[in-house]
Amino acid sequence: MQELFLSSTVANEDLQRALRILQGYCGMKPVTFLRRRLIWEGPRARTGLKGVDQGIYKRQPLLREPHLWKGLHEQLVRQSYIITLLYDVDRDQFGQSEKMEVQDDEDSAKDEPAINFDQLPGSLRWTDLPDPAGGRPVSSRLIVNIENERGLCTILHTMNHRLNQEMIQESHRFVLGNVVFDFSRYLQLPPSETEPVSSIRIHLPAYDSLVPFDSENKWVLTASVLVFNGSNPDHIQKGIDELMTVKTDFEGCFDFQALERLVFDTRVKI
Amino acid sequence: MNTMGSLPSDFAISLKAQPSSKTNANLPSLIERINIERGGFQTITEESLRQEIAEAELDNEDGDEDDTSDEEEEELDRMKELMTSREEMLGQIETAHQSAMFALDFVSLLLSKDTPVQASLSISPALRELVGMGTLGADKLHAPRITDAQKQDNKQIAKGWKSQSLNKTVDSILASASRLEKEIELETKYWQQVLAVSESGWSVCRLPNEKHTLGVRFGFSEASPAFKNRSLAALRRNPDGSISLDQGIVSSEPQILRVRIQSGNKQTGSSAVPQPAAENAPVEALILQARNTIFAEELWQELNREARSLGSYGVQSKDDTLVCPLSATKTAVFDLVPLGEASLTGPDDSMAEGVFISLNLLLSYAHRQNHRRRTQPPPPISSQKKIIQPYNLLRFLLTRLKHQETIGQLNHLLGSLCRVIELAQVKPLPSFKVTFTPWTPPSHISQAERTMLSLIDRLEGIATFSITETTTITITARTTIFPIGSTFALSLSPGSPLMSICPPHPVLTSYPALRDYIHYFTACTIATSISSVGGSGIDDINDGGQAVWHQTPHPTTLRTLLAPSVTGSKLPRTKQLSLSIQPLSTEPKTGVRMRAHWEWNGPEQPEHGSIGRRASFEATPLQKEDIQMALELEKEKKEKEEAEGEEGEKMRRVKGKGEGVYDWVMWETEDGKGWDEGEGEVFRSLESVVTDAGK
Repeated sequence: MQELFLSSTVANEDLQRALRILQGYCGMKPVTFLRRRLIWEGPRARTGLKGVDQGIYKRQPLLREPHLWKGLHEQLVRQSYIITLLYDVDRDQFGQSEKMEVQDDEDSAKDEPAINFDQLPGSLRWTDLPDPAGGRPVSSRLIVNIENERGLCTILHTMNHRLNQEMIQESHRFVLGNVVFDFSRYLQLPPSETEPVSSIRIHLPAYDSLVPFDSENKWVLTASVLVFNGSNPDHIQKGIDELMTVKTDFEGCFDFQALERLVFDTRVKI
Repeated sequence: MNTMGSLPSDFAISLKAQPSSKTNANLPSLIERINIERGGFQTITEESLRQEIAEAELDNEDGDEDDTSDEEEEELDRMKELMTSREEMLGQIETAHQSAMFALDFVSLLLSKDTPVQASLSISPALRELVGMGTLGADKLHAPRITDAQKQDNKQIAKGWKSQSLNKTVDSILASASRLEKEIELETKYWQQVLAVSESGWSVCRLPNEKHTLGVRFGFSEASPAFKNRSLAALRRNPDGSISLDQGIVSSEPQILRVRIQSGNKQTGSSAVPQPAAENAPVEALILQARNTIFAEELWQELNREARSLGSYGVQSKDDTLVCPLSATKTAVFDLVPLGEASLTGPDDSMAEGVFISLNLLLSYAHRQNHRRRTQPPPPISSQKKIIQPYNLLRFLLTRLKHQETIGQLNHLLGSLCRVIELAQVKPLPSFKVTFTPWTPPSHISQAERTMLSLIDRLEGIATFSITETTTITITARTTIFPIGSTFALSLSPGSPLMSICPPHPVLTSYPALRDYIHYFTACTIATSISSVGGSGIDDINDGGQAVWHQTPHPTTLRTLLAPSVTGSKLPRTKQLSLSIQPLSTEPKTGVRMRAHWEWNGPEQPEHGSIGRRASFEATPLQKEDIQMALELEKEKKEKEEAEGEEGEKMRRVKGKGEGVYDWVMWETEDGKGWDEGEGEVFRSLESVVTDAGK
């Protein structure tokens, strides 16, 4: 699957106005969600990459989209990448540990179960380096999006991937026709005393303690279109046309650009 | 002093001749001279003037004596003065000469037209080259004949015109001021109304065609594009300041969907058709009416679109109406009518109103589905074409009605069965229960959608029918939307003996099949319960007393063996008893009949010569009594049949010794009564019949 997209930035002070503008443009209220992004790094090797472990088909016979795993395997065999796992969270899941400290410690510590990520449904997202800007006014890259799957952490472990870091993504999403608008801000978790680094956190700290990844606290606005078959020029052209319409419509308001491709590089540096 | 304009004003020497005392000493010139000399009158008093005069006289005497000593000095000064004056004079003379030459040239040029010879003598060559001869002309004109009086007149006229124009200006300014004031008043009124419209919740925006005009959006954002395009109306200002709604070219009269219910060919109900808003109604009322109209038009279009796919359920399009059968007896007729159209009322008005409201709700629900669909992240662009299905409006309605019908049928079926069995005094009494629990959708959807979903989706009813303690059958009726229909899933209580005898088919897809099965099943159960009373093997020969019935391969038939002593023949004989339950229907009633039929089995016939089944009446003493009663009852029955609305239970007895038929009948009337009070007290229980049959 190919993703065609354009990016722009919005300052934090302008966010509410930008949301209202898009609300009128798309005729819908924004869908807001918070996600945990677990960033896994592939093996640091150039050759001998094993890709997706073929044993997963046996262990998890209920895989929802096996053909997507095959596609992912083809990509991972030739190059090691950084893969992101996405898990939806609620706002009130933040700061649970602090709330618990306020309450009685003994009972609640025993009752609260550890979050087992393998039991939660999550999404796997792999994106390739965007294609070189050859005549296309938009950025375009291959993407594999495996949604609503369980046991992803275990799968990645078996593929020799290691958890690198975790970020929280706060997003507002709008849809118009084939174009998806996404306002995203990335927040970092403050270093924790109780839990070791490079492991998936069980307790999420309070929401207010999260630090924006970007020093200026900017939001990234992405307009993207997905095309099923990247080699069909008509479909690609249709996607490009829609994105260009968006760009001209918002001229003077948001400056949509096809950013430099290396900004989106997900290859593992050796 | 200032008469020589070319001299600077502070030039102290005057070239004019000393004014003699005889010159006109007019006051202004005197005052001027005094000002220059003494710098004003402020320092002058009478005293000082007298003093000056006295001094001046003395000086004159003295002055003559000082003259000679100053002469030399004065001479030098005077030389200088003379030289400068001489220069000046020469300059002035030169200027005068030039002016004279110009005058000469001018006159020569003027004359050159008429007397060129004479003029060419006096014209300067420079001018001649520059301009040429005869280029200036002069004409003598008459003196203007305007007399003084006329001049005065003209002045008056000019004044008059001026004042007239000024008046006109003033008037026009006043007029525009008052017009502006009026405009402001009208505009204020207009804007107040626009604000009122906006505050009552309507969305006001600029018209895309006329950027300076406001319009109101009264349509629905999730309607199909044809209707979205028509959903904007301009708010225009009338000359009196009030606001009017302008729907443009596509404006249509206000309309509404009308639902009429027909039973047979007669109209028995209609939904309400409101009156249109008056001409001078407030603009909000007009906007509301426009919105309702566009909703009704869209509803009509979607109903027609859906009706094309519902032909198999009897939905038809006739003339300008849609005909949709709601049940076996009632039909709904839909059409789009203008507001204010008269409509008859009837007993089914509430049903028509209910159908109308539910169709409106279903269209809103379809809009909500549209919104949900378009706000989700779209699938990637691919060659798969998106087919837009017609909305499900009538389909949901028909499904719901079908479900209600199914529940009613289940109730009816089991109810009448229970009554019949009760009449036959079968112990223990059977019971049934039909429950329908609406589905509770998940809570992440909005309340409105949850309500709709629980009304139209997952329609399921569960009926349990317990005939004996061990036998309970559970019927789960599920009404589906695609296609519209009820399926019945059956399950039997595991401990029932009927599991091996007539196990239920797991799924039945039509009500008649269910009914037939339930009847059969009930008959089997009762037969089984009779047979289980009593002994075991087939060798158990009955020697008078209670007959022992055994099961046969046919579940509703039982067999017993009678000893030769009872039957009077040489060999033991078998008798068969079969039970059956059938539905009865004669217009307009329906009912159910349970029949017990017993007969001899096998080629031997009793010696007493039964003529066979259904032959003449030959009765044993016990039977005679019953036949009499039967005859009486038959008379009664005939009498009753002449009267109206008979209900009741009948018995019929058929002939043949040792053979017979006994019916228990249950009629369902509209008020649900089984049988009348004055009738049918005499009936027999199953037990007694069975006992008889065993003899």
